[in-house]
Amino acid sequence: MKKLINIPVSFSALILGLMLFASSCGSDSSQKKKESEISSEAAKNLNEKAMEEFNKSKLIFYSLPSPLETAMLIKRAGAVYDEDLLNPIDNLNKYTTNLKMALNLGIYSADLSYTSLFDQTQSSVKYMANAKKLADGLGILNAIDENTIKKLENNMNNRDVVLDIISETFMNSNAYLSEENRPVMAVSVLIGGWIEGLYIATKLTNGSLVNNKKLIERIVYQKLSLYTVMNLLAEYQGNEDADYLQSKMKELKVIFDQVKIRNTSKVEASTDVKNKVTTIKADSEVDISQEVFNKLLKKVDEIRTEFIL
Amino acid sequence: MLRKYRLIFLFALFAVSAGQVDAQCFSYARGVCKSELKDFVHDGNYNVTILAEGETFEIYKTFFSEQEYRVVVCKVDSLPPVNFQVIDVEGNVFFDSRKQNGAHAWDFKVESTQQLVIRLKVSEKDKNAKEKIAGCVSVMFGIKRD
Repeated sequence: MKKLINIPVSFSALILGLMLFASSCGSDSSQKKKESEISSEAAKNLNEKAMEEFNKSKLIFYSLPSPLETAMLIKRAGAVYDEDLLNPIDNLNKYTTNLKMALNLGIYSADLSYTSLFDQTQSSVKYMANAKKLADGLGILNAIDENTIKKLENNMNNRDVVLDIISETFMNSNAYLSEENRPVMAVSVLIGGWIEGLYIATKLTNGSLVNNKKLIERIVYQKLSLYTVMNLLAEYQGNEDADYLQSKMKELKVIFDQVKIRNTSKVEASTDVKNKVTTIKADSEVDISQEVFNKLLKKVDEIRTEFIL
Repeated sequence: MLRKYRLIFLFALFAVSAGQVDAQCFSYARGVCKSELKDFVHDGNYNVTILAEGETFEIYKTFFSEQEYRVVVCKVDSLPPVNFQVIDVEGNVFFDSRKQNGAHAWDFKVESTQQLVIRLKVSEKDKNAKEKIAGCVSVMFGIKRD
């Protein structure tokens, strides 16, 4: 989710702000001596405190599951393909604001990942074309070009190559927005993709908690991803788009708060030396009632509908 | 005191630069770091920043059961070694690169979905140095293909 998209939270940035403030005070020659003395004393205290805090400072990023990872999770949970769940291609022209373009870039990226994992070649090309138009609309240069689409068309029978293309285009968009100092748009793309994945997964359950328990588990554990989303958005409080998204996510949080997830055993790691893979073992329990699940389905549908219209 | 003030200001500038990822970092991440994922497909997320010696960087991410992941940590040659740990929110350490000959990649899976933290720290050549080296650091997550 820092600037990587992931947006780092830096105590050091706060220090810089304070330092710049202190510095600007010092540069104002019209200040009275007494004020200078106060500033000087404050700066001295700040220096000691800042040095101490700087040593402890760290950047924190929050990483959401990408549209590609979400689609892989859905497929591995044994879900089926249902084209009716996708955001219609024709909706593209509705997206004229930056926020809508960013959200739906994420949504179309999720749809693209979903269609590709189920080998729906023609649909994949159409969704890639839509993603390109939205990326262009957001001024994201070269994230997806004509060659990308041509390469996708030429490799439609090679799923590995297709996944690499999707991964690459998503990273390009993400990186561009982050580097151009448009982190809220970058976060919006991620949230759009995440909500679309959640929407597809919840719809595929047909409202039943028992039909596909793996898929239900995937959905329930998105409570952890929502925590990530809330942290990402908290960084941009005061930004109109971020505040709007935060209000939507808070509505979702009210429902996810009623879902219980807990580890029921000690968490331990064991390594398969031959294959060089470590498994982190822990038993866990999840608890969600049908009533809460129904509320979740309704809320996800409502938010997703608001995003795509 | 003035010298100390300048030093802190320099540090603070480093910290801010950490939030403004350079285009060269993108080229580095895409060209060098991504290839370390090998047969894992990159999840597409862009986790790149600029860190200075002594700085710590944490990524919180949820890892889902039944998927095998590879985490790769890369840094530009000019930076001193970057150590990384994978821990859970309760502080249990599952991987520590210092105990794995400075390994910069780790393959793992989780039996039940877990939120984990990838914690990186750039080591310092000289803790008393007035100037600190800064450079691109990238963390990439790959998912094993079917």
